[in-house]
Amino acid sequence: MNSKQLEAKIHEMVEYFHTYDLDGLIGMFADNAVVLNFTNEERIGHQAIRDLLTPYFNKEFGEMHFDLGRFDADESTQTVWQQWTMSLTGPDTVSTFQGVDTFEFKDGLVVRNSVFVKSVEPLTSVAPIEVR
Amino acid sequence: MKREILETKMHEFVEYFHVYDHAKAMDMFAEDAVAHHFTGEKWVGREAIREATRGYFAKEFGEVFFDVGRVDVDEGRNILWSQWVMKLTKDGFTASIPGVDTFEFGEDLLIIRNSVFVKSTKPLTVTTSLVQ
Repeated sequence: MNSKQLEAKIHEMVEYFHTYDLDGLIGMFADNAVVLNFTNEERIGHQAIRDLLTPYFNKEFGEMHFDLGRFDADESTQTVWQQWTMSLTGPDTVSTFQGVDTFEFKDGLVVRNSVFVKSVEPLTSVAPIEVR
Repeated sequence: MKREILETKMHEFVEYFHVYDHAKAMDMFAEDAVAHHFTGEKWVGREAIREATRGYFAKEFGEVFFDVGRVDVDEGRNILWSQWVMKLTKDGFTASIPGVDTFEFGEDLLIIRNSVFVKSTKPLTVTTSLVQ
């Protein structure tokens, strides 16, 4: 796919979020796709990805909306980077988050997706230095 | 701009971190470059970026090392995305922080825009009330 076609895929995906069409969204992923969400949890395969996303589609965190920012595409690796601001609107408040998704495509389907965010508390693993 | 050129520039930038050469790292930015830190802070201009990054080069957070992983390039837009794990070693411990940088280069090969995102269990959140 060229850059325009890759961008169209992203818009299709976002539309599934905005219309709460989880089946439509899951259909864009390969059977064995890997998703790493912003907490770095790894989910592999349709069912695991569905389980991860179900609360969003059930509006457990509120009404969801993505405002898309910069889009970049590496056609040689069929990888896109899409920056966004996600809004979650509840009965009394609206919360916004800034992040970026990377999607790697193969045969028109997402085979890998990883999400990163802005945060003052990055995920950090601490280990003692190995003594040789 | 060709992938090889942009990848070389990115590795050069990382190398300046590894040898704590603050001046040369900053010389890679355009004078009016904009950098968006993972905390959501925005620094405009080379001097602001220099001041904001001084702590890394002074080893305030420990010895810094970037283990660069996947790299994607949008050749049409002179943009590079690099995934990495930043390792900060201090007082016998190493803190590992996974993240991603995007660099946009000008035709003169200077960085004109940089933005950093991380994994986190606590994304930066702006909440506003809908109650009048």
